[in-house]
Amino acid sequence: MKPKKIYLNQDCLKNPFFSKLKIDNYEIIKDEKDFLRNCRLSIDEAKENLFITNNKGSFIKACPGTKYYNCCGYQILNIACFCNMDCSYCILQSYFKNPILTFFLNYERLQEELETKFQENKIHRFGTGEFTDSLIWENIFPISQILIEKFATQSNSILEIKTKSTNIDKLLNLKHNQKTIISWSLNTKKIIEEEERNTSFLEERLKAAKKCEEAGYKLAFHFDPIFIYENHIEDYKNIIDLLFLKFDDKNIVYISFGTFRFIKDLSKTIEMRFENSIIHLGEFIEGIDGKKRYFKPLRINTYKNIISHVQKYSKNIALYFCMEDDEVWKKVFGYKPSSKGSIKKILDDAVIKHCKLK
Amino acid sequence: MFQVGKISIEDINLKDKSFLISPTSSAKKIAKSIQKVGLITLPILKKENGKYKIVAGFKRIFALKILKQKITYAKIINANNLDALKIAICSNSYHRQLNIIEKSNAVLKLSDFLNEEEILQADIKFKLNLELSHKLINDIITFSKLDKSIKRAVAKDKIAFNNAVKLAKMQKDERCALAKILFLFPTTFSKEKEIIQHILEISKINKTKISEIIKEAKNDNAQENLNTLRDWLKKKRYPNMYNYLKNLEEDIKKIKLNNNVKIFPNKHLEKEGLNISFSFKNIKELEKALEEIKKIKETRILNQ
Repeated sequence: MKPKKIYLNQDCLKNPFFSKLKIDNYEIIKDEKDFLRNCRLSIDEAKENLFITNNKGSFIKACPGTKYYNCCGYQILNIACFCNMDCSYCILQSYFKNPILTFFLNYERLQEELETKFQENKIHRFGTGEFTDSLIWENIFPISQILIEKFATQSNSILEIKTKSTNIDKLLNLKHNQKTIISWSLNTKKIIEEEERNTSFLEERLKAAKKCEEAGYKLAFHFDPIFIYENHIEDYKNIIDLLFLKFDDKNIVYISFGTFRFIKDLSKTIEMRFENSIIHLGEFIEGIDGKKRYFKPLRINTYKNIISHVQKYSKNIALYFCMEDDEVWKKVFGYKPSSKGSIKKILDDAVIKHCKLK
Repeated sequence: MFQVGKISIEDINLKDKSFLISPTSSAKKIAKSIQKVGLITLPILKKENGKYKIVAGFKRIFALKILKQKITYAKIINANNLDALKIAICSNSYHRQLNIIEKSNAVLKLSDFLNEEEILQADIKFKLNLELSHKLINDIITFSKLDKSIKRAVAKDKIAFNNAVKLAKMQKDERCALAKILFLFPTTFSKEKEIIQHILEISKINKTKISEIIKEAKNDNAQENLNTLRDWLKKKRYPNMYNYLKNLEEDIKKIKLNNNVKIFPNKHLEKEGLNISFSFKNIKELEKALEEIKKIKETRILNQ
């Protein structure tokens, strides 16, 4: 990440982690509230401006999920907000009122929150890739490197680093103790080319994942969002062929699937910022949570085809849907999540097995 | 700011429309009223180069012309053109909500003097009652570039303003092709919006010109009436959903339920299951309806 302009909350100057920041020129912000109130950046500008500050709220948040559809019970480590990659479908474009790349420096409090969780007698799955891409921050602050080594010292939690990048070189020699899963969001060549600006190509992502596998990391993959277009099933099947050609299924902890869904406001943003994109013009209906989703029989058909292809290669990987209802689960997997406890239970069991959690 | 004066109608420049906000219509009705009770509200005029410009009261002045009056009393204002325009807007919007054509006239005339932000501020500060927003100002400016026939249709409530703005953003030949369809099938604004939206989306998805889509609809005999056109567009825009729901509808029809029993899916099939509704007036009818419902067990719709 090379932001054009960096702003630093003056409170961060006293922060014990300030010396780890790799920044040269920055403007000191004395009044954060005033700064953010007057921060009226376009989305393009917001992707080039960085604000380093302290997280005033909780670092750990439960994934908000959505009404009616099944959630996986993942917990978000809110290390940063927004992203300098530029995917047409990204919800972050509509999520923040006054967007700007934001990094939280008060890692000492994140550490405290984690310590409390590490003491608990239950399994936790944490991830940093919900409000940002996990690996875009390393040349500003080595947050993933610090977190990986932190997670290596405990045995009830896993850290998931989710990315579309290839910035993994500095992670390869770390002591991770298999408590970190590095995951890639995958999509077809057509979608990456047309809809995912400033991200790495599919082959590059898979190459990076291979290096991580060789470094002993456990892996995960996310087919989310899946787009329905002419011959999309063949395109997604091709990625699956590549995956099982390249990786040992014993090293893949889970694979998630989710077809494209979006809040209505995102359509306007796509039309304004991605004039040629037609991803929002599929056969969408309004879901029970108010989000637009592909017509259910189309989703089920897509999932059935893609997932049966995965199952031809392996039956050992935990497969799950992000935000689908019981009917979809039953028609594709043959069971409802509740019959196996919950999605959380399915994934907890997978990480216990792969990452030797206790 | 003004004084009442006796003015010769010949001294009024009837061709000047600098301050005209409401499109002029026949003044015969108001002429009759003036003949009966006299001129109750005085027109407002502004003197310029020895002649008078009408600021407010265009219809009244024309009515006086019809009545062949030579002289009238009027309020003469001493104001610059911008202030005179504000007075013209207020005199129209004071008693009633301006329609979109009048708002459009007001905004376009104000834009000769003020930028977008100043227009918004003037609306609030001088209580012009235009109820503007940035979006509306932009839409009005877009709308102003439209062909007269479409503007006229908006003025006559035959096309919604918002729909006209969408047309204004298209290339002229595409716009004309679409407007032709809208003129052919006058309907409610919401159905009009649906037609425009479906055509625009089909055009974008298939990278096809609007005129070609309309031609295709004609070749498929979809232009018989409004419903055939809407149905054709739905099928074209949502082919899988359309076919799926049509098949389901057919399957339900095959059960041949009596009229008092109806079976229908949840909205968009997002929630699992089907709904049944039935009506009855007495036990006998209830028993009959329940017998009807049993028929569903023998069909394939529950296995879909």
